[in-house]
Amino acid sequence: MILGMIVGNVWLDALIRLGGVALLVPLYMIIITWTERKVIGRLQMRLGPMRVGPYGTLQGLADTIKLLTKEDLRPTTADRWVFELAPFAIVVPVIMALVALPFTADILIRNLTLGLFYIVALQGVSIVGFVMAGWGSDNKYALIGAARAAAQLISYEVPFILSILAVAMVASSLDIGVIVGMQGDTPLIAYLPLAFVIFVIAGLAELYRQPFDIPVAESEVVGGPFVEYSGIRWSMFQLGEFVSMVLISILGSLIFLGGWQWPVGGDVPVVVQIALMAVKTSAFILFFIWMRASLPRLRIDQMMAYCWQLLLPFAFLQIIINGLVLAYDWPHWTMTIMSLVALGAFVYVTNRAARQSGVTYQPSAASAQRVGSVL
Amino acid sequence: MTVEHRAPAEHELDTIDININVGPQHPATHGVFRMVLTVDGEVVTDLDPVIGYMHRGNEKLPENCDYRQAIGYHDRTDYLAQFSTEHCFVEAVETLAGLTAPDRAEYIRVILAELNRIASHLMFFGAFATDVGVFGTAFMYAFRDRETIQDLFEEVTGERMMYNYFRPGGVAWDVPDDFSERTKQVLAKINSGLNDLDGLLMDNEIVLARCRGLGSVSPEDAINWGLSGPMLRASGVQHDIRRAEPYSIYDRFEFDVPTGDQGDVFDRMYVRLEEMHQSVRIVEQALAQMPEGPIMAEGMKRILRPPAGEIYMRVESPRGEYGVYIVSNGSDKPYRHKVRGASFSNLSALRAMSIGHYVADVIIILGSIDIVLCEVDR
Amino acid sequence: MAEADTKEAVEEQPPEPGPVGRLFQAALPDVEFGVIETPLNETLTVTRDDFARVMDAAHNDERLSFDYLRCLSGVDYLTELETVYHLYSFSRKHTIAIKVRCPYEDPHVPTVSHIWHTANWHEREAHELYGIVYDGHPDLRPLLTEEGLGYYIMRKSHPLAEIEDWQEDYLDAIQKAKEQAAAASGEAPPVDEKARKIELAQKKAQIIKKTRDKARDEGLSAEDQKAAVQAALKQFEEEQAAADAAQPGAAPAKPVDERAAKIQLAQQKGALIKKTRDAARAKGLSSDEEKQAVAEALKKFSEEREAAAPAPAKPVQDRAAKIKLAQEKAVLIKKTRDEARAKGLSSDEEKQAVSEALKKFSEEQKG
Repeated sequence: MILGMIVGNVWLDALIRLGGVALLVPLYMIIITWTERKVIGRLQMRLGPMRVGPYGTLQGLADTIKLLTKEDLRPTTADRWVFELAPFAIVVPVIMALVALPFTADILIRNLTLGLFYIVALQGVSIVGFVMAGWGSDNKYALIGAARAAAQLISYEVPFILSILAVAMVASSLDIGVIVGMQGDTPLIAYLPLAFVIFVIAGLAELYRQPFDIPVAESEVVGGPFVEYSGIRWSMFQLGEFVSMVLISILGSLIFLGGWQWPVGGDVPVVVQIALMAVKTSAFILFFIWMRASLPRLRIDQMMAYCWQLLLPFAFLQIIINGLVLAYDWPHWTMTIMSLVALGAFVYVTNRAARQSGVTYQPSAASAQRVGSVL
Repeated sequence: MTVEHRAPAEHELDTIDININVGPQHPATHGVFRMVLTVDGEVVTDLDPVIGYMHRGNEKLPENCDYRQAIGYHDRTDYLAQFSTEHCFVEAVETLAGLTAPDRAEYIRVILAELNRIASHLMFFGAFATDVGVFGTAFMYAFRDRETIQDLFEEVTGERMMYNYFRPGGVAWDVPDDFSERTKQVLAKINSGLNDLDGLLMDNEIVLARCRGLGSVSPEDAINWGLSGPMLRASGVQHDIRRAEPYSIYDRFEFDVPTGDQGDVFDRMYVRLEEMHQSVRIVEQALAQMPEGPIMAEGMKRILRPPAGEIYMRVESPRGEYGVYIVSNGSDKPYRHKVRGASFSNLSALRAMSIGHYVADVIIILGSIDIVLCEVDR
Repeated sequence: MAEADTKEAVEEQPPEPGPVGRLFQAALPDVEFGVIETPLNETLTVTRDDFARVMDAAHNDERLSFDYLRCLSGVDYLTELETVYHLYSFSRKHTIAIKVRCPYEDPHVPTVSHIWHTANWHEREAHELYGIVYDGHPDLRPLLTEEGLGYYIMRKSHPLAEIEDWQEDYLDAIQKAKEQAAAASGEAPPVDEKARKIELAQKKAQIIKKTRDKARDEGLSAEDQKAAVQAALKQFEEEQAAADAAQPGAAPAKPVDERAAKIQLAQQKGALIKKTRDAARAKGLSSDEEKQAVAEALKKFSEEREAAAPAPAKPVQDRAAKIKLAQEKAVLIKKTRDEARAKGLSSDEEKQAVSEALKKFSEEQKG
């Protein structure tokens, strides 16, 4: 709210808002870390952190202090500058993306007309950091992890963008404020359930979370690109990951769940706006944490095949449905029905493919060569 | 199990294979196992297992010990199935020395060994699910139930890991008075816990996609490679030493021998889950039949001197055939004391099972063998 | 005493073979089997000469069909080494143990790893722990112990306590025996750089210990102790240097090994490159010209070298011939296999055809 009231000098205003974000993000990261550990602990019938502070609330702070004071190790054979700059290449773009992301109608840094485009573009840049980390570490695990990360991010960027494009088509705008504004009565998830599911799945893949944590798989590549990092640089990777998670959660709440508008609609009081956004964003974050605690990991070729053979065609299907409805000016509920039917087909095909993939899998180098033969 | 080496096709870029060292310090190697993978991209073209990091002379040391002192070394070969290993050794010594343990002692042994089998398989599920990528949830589920078994063992033996409880001729001391009720409580918890694990893993689409058709071994290959236990039964060979060559009192119980049909990773998982149910059945029957009476054979000498001779005794441990080959020369120490670890033979098939698979799959195949490195290296 | 009596009784009346033993006798009538009574299974002993045939029959004979090797154990009987094979048959549900012995001096036994894959690791293990050599095993690297251990830890002669001392003595004895053998054959004892260094280090350690103990007894402070030790070490080193100088023969001979020569060559080349480049730069040549000059200089250098020491031409030829031979063989294998496949033979027959073709080929080569 304070941020919303500043109107004077443009540069001073921007500086203060950015400063606010820069302060809030690490604080928020501490809270989310604690939440994640606590929630996963409960899902696993443990208590989670309990020692530092009441119910372990200060655990995140203690961890931060520990990470900040740890020695910043660098392998002697590492490519020095690439290695040391990689964490920045991950953190800076995602924090920059926050610039165009409104939390409520007033709490925002800048509302860009091409906000959606800007956020998606910056979200994709962080892969450079992963590849830099993998290459610079001079470690085979890191290199494999980086190669996996690059393949995964490039693949999942496409359905991710297509699902957002479906939203932009319906709203006929790339301005997030406009998109939220039109969802006063009906959130876009009601028209685009298929796009929403694709958005969440591709979002999971972009965040490298289960079942798509292939690049950082602990039991295979021991943390992937981060394997050689320690202390503050490692925590920067974590920061990047958590900010990405928050980014995608807020983005999802805004463009699919009606942001600060739905279900109240019209001129919403600021407190209600904050409450609505908090609930929706938290739901997303808790969903991501839940997935992490309950799903195993896919194999790299299964993941790629899933993206290119299932996710992408169905994303295109959603675009086609949108195009038909908008071009012929049919009522919006036809879009809902067609999207739901497509979603049913999507779930069916996914399930079938997963259950059959093991049976048809022929383990040999020759078949492994055909990436994507599995699903 | 032919190995196909991949020749680059014409349209492909020229690539080189790289070596990746996995272990001995790696989260997925279940101890100090090391393997050098040669990978072409993500596909493993060669695998060189390196073992021996845990070699402590567990065969040599008992050759310089009294027969009773040697029991402790068996705890340390397979540290997840200590009662099975002890069982094997004491049965071997008893057969060699012509002793017969009283019924009650045999029942106690069977109950503890079967509970130990459940504990070991639960450990497998926890570790294996972590290999597949479940972030600790299956591990905690499995350990919750394993903990109840561990508590029971602690009540009986006073130890949580190196029990050292069986003796040639019986067991060290009698079980606590409430052993029967406590065991029933534990069984109830295990039954519900097994349902949780079943629901979490066995019908999960990702687990199915990852595990089915992976690392398949035909029955002929499985036999030729010397696989045993769940590895062998997953390939469709219905062979359980408890059934085929009954030792101890296993001929008194009714139980099924579950088998798979593909011999793949999923079947190994399935066989282990079913085995836990069968072990529960055996323990229930044994509790019902368990008589009162002495727990140690009469007329035991202070120092055991089995007559000269030799014996190869084998039991069905959770990992397969655990064997002890003892040569006695009539003295109070075994002349030769050889341990045939099930994991040792099972692990030797890893290379043949893994070539041509992805790196991620090799980790799962290794996990599905359920190795205990102490038993491999001895 | 009773045990001894039974033992004698057993020796007096050799036990009759059991049902499985009789099957073996039926399968191999010309092989002599010894019988040992053991609980749980029958045990047969065979001689080393018959062993390969017996194992082959155990696996392949219809009546026996032992398809599973449960366990393979080495045993040390002080004069002989024994290998015990515990077999099981899944189809016939019977078991047997087969024992074969080999003398200490000639510890060779035919491998069974081609019959049962599982014997691969078991034989490797018995090899490294007992020193039994399994002839025909594809890969007898040590499995559990480190490479090049030099002694067999499961043999009875290997002690349990004070192993470190024993190992040192044992290795020393081996070294001395080697030296003596070398001296007897009239060759100069090979100067072992590593052993010398170890010896030196041991001597130094002794001096350090001695000096320190002495200093402690005298009640010196920690710093004084250090100083005393250093002084003693310095003295020792000087003495050592003097001794080396006095006995030039004892000084380690210059290592004439491939690697050093290569390093030397590389150094010479490096110096040449540097020299040429500096000269080129001094002349103000462009970088391309500079490179050319360096290349020319290198070429000249290697030509001179070859002229000075004619390169061993023969191995090169050998290698080329080997490569050629291997290529021809590969072509042959491919051809034979394709033909076999075209004929629709099974994989076993195919293998046989290939091996026959190869045999023929090598005979032709010899001819």
